[in-house]
Amino acid sequence: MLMPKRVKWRKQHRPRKLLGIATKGNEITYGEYGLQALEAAWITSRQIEAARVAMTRYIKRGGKVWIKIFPDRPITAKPAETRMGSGKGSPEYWVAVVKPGRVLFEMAGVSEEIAQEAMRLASHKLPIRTKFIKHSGAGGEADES
Amino acid sequence: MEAIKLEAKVRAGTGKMYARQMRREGNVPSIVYGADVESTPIEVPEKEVEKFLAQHGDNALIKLVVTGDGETNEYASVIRELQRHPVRGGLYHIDFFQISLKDKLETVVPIHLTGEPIGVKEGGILQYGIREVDVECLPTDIPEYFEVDISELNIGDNSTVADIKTPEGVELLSDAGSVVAMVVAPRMEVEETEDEEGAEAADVPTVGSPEGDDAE
Repeated sequence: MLMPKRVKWRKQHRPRKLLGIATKGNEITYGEYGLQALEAAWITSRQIEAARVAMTRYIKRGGKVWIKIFPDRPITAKPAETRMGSGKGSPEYWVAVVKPGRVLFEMAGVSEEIAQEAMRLASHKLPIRTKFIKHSGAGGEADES
Repeated sequence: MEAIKLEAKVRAGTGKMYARQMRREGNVPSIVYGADVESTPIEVPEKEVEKFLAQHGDNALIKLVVTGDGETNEYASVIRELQRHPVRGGLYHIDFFQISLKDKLETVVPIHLTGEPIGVKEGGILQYGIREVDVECLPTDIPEYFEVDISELNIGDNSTVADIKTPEGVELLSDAGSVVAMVVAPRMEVEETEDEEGAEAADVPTVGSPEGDDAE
């Protein structure tokens, strides 16, 4: 699963309420096809990994997949049945902060039908609505999924 | 390239409220500026611009006809910046740059790849490099796109900017060694890395700790 190799501080403040849209990373840069977020969410490293596995299993040997987000924010939690107080909990998992418009995954080297189906399978592993997009050089824009 | 006509109106107001209202009515807030024209906020019909972009691309020479304040002006211009909404994809704002037809200008031209590489037929994967190149030419000579034939590429080969054939009067500014397309070998097997499954979120070392410094 994706997580930083080392960090400056083990615990961070909780990310604020997600407002606005993605001003960076909202275009396809490497591949031909992409999966774009339509909602804001924290995507956990487990969800990213599940989506990646779903995609790579479907496209088998062909194609190349890029993961365009990285879970670099630690989320802490207190153990179950613990009284309040005694400081902040320990880091439990890592999340990537995603805003609408962010391209989550990219793909190249497969036909459009295969890319669309692979992205559909991947989108079912994510907690947000997404849209399948194509690079303008690959012949056009969007398709809802 | 012949200049293509596009009609615009001088904007009656400014500010985000007015701009939003304009977008709801199907117009795109825009601006025209250049050496011979003072910055003028204008509006252009979105449908017309989308049709224009679909037919001619975003590097075409434009004859911008601006009406307003009881007069009509014509400017030879190019699109300098095109902003789209990241989610909805609709046009948000356009910068029209007024140019002189006698002076050379720097612009970008998209690259279209043609043919199916030999390497892809053998199971390789086509990977894109840069998708557009910087050129310098007279506004009337701007090519709509460059075609690069990649049908001869084997696995491991690549095509670079040096392979682009430019028409007379068009000078390439991009680095000749920049890769346009390459064919890479396919992955040998589906990687199912479960190795770090056991790694806990709390295990990540911090900078300054003995473990964290080892990682360097």
